[in-house]
Amino acid sequence: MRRIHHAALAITAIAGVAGASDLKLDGQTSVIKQIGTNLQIDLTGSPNLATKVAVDVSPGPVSVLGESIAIGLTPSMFFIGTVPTDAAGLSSTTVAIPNDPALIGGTFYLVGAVLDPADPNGFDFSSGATLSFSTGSFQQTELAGNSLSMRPFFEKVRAINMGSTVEVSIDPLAMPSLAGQTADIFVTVAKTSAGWDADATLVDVSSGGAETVTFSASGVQANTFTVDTGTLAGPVGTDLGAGYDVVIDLDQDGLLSAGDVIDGYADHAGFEVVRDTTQAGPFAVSESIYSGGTWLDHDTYYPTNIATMGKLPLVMISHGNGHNYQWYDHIGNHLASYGYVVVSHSNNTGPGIQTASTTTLDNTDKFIGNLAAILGGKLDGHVDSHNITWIGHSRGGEGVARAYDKIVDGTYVPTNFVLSDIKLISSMAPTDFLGTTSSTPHDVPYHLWVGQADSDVNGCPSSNVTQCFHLLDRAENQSQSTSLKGVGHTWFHDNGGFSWASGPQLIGEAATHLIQLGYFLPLVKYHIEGDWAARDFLTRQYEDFHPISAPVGVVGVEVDLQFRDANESGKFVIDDFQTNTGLALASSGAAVSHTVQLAVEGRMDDGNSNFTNIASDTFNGFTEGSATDFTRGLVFNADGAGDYDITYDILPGDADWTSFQDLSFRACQSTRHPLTTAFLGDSDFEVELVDTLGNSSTISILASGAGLTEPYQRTGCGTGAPGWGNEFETIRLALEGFTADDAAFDLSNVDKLIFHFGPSHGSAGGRYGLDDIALTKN
Amino acid sequence: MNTKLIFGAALVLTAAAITFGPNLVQATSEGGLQAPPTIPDNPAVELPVQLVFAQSFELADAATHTWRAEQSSYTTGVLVVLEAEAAFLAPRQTAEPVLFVGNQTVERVNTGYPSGQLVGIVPGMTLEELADAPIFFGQPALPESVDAAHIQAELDAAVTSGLTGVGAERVAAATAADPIGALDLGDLHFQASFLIEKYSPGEVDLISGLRAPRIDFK
Repeated sequence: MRRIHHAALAITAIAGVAGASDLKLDGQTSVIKQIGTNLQIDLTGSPNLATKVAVDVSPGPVSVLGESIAIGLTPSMFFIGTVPTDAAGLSSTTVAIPNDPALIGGTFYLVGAVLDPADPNGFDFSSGATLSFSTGSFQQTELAGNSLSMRPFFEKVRAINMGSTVEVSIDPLAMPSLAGQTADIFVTVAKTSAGWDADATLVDVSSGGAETVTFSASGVQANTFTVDTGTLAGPVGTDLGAGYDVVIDLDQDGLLSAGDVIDGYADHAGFEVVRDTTQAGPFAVSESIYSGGTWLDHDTYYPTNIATMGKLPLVMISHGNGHNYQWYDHIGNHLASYGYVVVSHSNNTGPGIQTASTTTLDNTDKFIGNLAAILGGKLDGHVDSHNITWIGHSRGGEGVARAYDKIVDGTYVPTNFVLSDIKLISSMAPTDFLGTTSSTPHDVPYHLWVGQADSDVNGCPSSNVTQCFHLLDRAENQSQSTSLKGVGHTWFHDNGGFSWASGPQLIGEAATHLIQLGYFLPLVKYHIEGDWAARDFLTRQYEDFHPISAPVGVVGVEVDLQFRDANESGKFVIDDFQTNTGLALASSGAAVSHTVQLAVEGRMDDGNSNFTNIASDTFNGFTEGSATDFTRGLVFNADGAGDYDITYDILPGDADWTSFQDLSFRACQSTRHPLTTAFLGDSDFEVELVDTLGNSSTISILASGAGLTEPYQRTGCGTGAPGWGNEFETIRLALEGFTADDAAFDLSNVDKLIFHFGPSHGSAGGRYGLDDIALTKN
Repeated sequence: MNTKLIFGAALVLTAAAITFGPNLVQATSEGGLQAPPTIPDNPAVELPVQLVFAQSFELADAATHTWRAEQSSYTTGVLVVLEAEAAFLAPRQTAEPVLFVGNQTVERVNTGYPSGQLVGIVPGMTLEELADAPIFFGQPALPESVDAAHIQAELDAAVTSGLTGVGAERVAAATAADPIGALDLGDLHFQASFLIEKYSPGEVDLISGLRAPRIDFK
């Protein structure tokens, strides 16, 4: 059903008493214009007569010379000089709208007058027209996502799994002009801005067609609407997702036009319906095993029809000690089916990491340099040597980091690629033999897989060698990790055999591989192809969003994700505990106060050789760094007897958070501590923002999908209650959520950030770790 | 893993459990190893190694001995098959006991798991020297970090513990073929694959991998 615009109603009424001439703005009686653009004013009347157009801030009507005209004749009224009517009686004038932001949101009312001697009054007044201004001809904002059962009641997302419901929501406080309006919501196939400019027609592709809805002023929940029940088509080809735009068609004209609201009209879609990333891609895969000489044995996977393709990104896999280069079929076939060339090579890990890293370097260099000889030249011209991913397992997982470091150090100079060609390193359960200065990913995007049930590279602090997280925290720039409870060391390859798995609720190789494949695809697509929607796989909690066929609800399956934004992303670090290391001063330079108990900042390195809880081992269970590493964080207690907080002051110069998207931090529970054991289970707490006027807004971390998982209930590595290494998870809270349904809180003047712990704010108590508190821009 | 492998692993586990007790070797209900067994304090004594087979070799192109710190080149040496407790040969990512023959580290070609039969390369050694060289596991380390001084210290400790060479007679009995002539280390690996097939046939992927068709890389 179409809605009749209230302004149009008014104009129609006035037109009934106005003169014979007619006024149109860009051919319409009501138009929303972008500042800095041109406006076409067309006034009709008798031929060859002088004209004027009056502009006022009031719609009137008032009576002039016995006629009712559609402006208020206020002191603000002014005239636009227009050309005389021509022989056909048309006065057509183009005026430039000033590029003045002060105009945005304003509305003006126009009436034309033809100086007509034949008219009894000497003036032939036109009908009225309405002119409003916006930053653009329509408003762009995020609309698509999922409803939440708690404040902020909705999450805006990039990726929605195939078969899942799509919802749209607006916050009437953020978009007050929509309250009371009826509109049609279209879900369309995504178009670029150029595509929309060329064809603004709205064609809904969702279940049931466009939804006609009426927005209210009653909050987010009342303005959340299901627009598709899971019928939207998934991607074609190798795409991770199929893009869709969402348009709120306010004037219900079936066009994306002035005044409408769109989620899209950008270099990416409004949202993407993403495929099951655990499943193979569209390409048939060929596999070939050959040897280029000593320690140059390759198992290579590539799209069978590669001859018809351009240059494909290269993935090199470096296996672990005693493993075999033919044991990564699952990764090779998966990524090749999406258009990657994957080479799993023999890796000389027996001697150690230095040797293994040389093997990775040699194989990468030799493969690129011998494409003409490999497989009869079938791959020659089809490998993009400037987009290389290194994946390593165990000793090979450390080896790939060391290989990168060797190029940085200048101790290895490749012939056929350069350092910047390495775009991503992913280590599966890596060792750390070589330590701080040698096994470091430096500034390359780095990803880490950890199996919490690993009984070989087991995470126990009895040895630095077995602490995988060291490499993650050495990464100097963008980094992420995927930690899997119930997963053993050897399940990252596909040879079966002994599991090297110890602990409860083991999930086995098949489930491990589903998670592996489900995350490897978006990982490489994000870093290699810059895939916009892939980021959701890396940043949203597993409980909130995960690969479609990755196991959920299965005993033992728990996946903890970390994601740290790149330094150049524009993030603002509130406290990463690396600088201003006193408890009372944040990295931002602002004051910090707290009522939590036994708060200590320090190096996140278990102080002894086991996970036994003793009071003197402040950082028990933390395995992020060794004695020579620099990673630091905060650890503290909330004893369950009351509420406790950590309060970050925000400096005046840092108070405007409106240009940021998320508040991000990583947090964990501390293993085997009596408070962790006493309140065993996922733990949650609240985050409060307070503005300079004292208005506050609070959100639970559960809004991100889940709380902090309890430590893996594994025994050994000391005594005491079950519990393995502390597992950080990155929590991201959308900043717009803090203003949802809250008219008072001002995100542009944030004065304090407060973390609240205790029974009034979630879990009764616990012992926690906290780190990397930042505002991110995504 | 095929049925044959599972059966073999179960047998090995049984033996290991008897020899070392449950604190050293843990078995899953499926019969596979659950965790790497704890390495004993004195591997040279507690993890005995037997010589099964020996064959000298010569390479046309010199190879680098990556399994010791000096990274020395070699063109001759001895290819050996050694027998040891299988559970301790199961590859681990943490440091393994370094395998020595006299004053030389051994390059392991296969894992030796679950067969307990390990094929190795002893660079620069002759059959005559092999007769007098104790064969033993030293302390866990990365072989690439092990230098001559370290090796000598390990050898001295092994000799002090009573280890001796196997003797010329044993070497002669174990030596059953003419010297191997190989183009390079890769070719020697290829030829070693036949020993692996004979002595540790369960390592099928390694065997096939070492026999991958050769392309001449520049």
